[in-house]
Amino acid sequence: MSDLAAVLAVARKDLLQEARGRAVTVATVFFSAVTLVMMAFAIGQDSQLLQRSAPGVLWVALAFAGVITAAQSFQSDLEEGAFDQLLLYPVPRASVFLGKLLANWLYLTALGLVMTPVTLVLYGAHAGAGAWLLPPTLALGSLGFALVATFYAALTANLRAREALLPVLMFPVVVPVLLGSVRASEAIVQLGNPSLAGGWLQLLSGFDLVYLVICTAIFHLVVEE
Amino acid sequence: MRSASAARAAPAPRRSFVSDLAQHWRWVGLIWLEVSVAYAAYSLYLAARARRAGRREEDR
Amino acid sequence: MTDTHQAPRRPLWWRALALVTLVLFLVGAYLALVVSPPDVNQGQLIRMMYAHVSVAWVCFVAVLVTAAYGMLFLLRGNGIDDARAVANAEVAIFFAGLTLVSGMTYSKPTLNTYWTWDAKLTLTALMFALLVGYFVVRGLIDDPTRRGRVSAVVSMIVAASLPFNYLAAAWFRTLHPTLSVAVTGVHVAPTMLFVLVFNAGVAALIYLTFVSERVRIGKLEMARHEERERRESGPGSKEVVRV
Repeated sequence: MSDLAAVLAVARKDLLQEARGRAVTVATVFFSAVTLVMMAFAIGQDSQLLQRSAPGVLWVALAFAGVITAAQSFQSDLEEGAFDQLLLYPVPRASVFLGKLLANWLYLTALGLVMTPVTLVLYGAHAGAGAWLLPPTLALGSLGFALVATFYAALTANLRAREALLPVLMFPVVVPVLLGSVRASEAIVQLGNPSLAGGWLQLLSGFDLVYLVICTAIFHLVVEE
Repeated sequence: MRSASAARAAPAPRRSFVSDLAQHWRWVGLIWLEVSVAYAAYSLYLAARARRAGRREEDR
Repeated sequence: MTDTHQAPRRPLWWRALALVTLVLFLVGAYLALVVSPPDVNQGQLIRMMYAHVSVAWVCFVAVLVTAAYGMLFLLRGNGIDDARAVANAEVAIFFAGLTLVSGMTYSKPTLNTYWTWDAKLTLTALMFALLVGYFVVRGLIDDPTRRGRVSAVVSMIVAASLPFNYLAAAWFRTLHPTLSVAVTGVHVAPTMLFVLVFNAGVAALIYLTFVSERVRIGKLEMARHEERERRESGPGSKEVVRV
């Protein structure tokens, strides 16, 4: 099986598994929605403040959803012993990583696409003329979160306290993703000036590219016995 | 507006040095105390860990 | 006070280094507290700058060295490289913590606030958090080879994160323009520059003193662990050596 086919096969397996079980979907959708609502209550009635907070709250919710998604993507495999089987196949470890990354990324982007209108409505914000830039921003930001989350989820998969450990390891690394995504979304949604988003999207792209290369290259070290 | 890039020396006769320092000695002293205590504490930690590592098992 | 059972001694060169470092530290403090002229803007508070800025750079060098030894460990599989890596990580987290505390102490009287989201301090705080993660992961893995390997991976990610986190912190600050703790060297009076460089050099010596001793301790702990493994082939001591 070619490497690319292996990647797609792993991604397909994960996505199909999720489509059947829907455990992660329920957890992440619920968690994101609850985060949005609770933050709205916490911020209060100042409608201007609410509006300005919308991108930040959305991306924080997505960041946490990314943690849940990535953790689960290895958890269910570990429990069923499927992960060891997967490692026995004669495909490079990197393909396993990329397959899981692909699945997690697609999932997070989809979640973001669903959560964005919900956020806009709840927080009284409007997308405006630059709205077409939102899906690419969601894709780039989700890729950044998915990259680091998937990588560290594999690293912590065999460790105790992995649920607490994953955000601890991940969040200092993804600060640039959070910052870039929120600022880009802000520029698109609020300031109505999508050109301001350009620099942030470049930061996101650079981050995604560099970490894609690094994580793919060293993933095999993480799952070696 | 304090410009952080222009740390130039001011002419300082000894008299105002003493009164200036008296005003700010708390902070100046605090930061140097912090640094000294930190170094001392880490040195003690290293000494304790070295002692523990050097001892043979029968000692414990 | 001294170990009674054939404990390997600290080498003579290290004792000399430690002594020289201590003396030079006192000299540096004297330079900062007495010799340095007061600043036009910050007055006597400039004496705090030497304490803070002279240590702020050490943690970053130490983190890069940690990653370098991690990569060496991956290449050569020699446990001593892992011992060197964790020694540098420990000294890095020490200096990062000291930088943050001294930064806040410096910030309060000069800028009237403990925290300003200054780009370098924010980067230091993020790196501190990353190093905490490094040690937590190490603490959870018992097998020395796997621990060294996973630590190397984590340290490489930590090193890779530094430029991105700095960019993010710097751009974040442009959104919150406030005064910066940093003292740019361009217009510093010659005496001040000398005092600063001297103290920065002292910080380098302290780093070397601490790290070489910490490596020696790591080697001792490794040797003790191996000795115990040899002696107890069956189930025995449950203690795991944390290098």
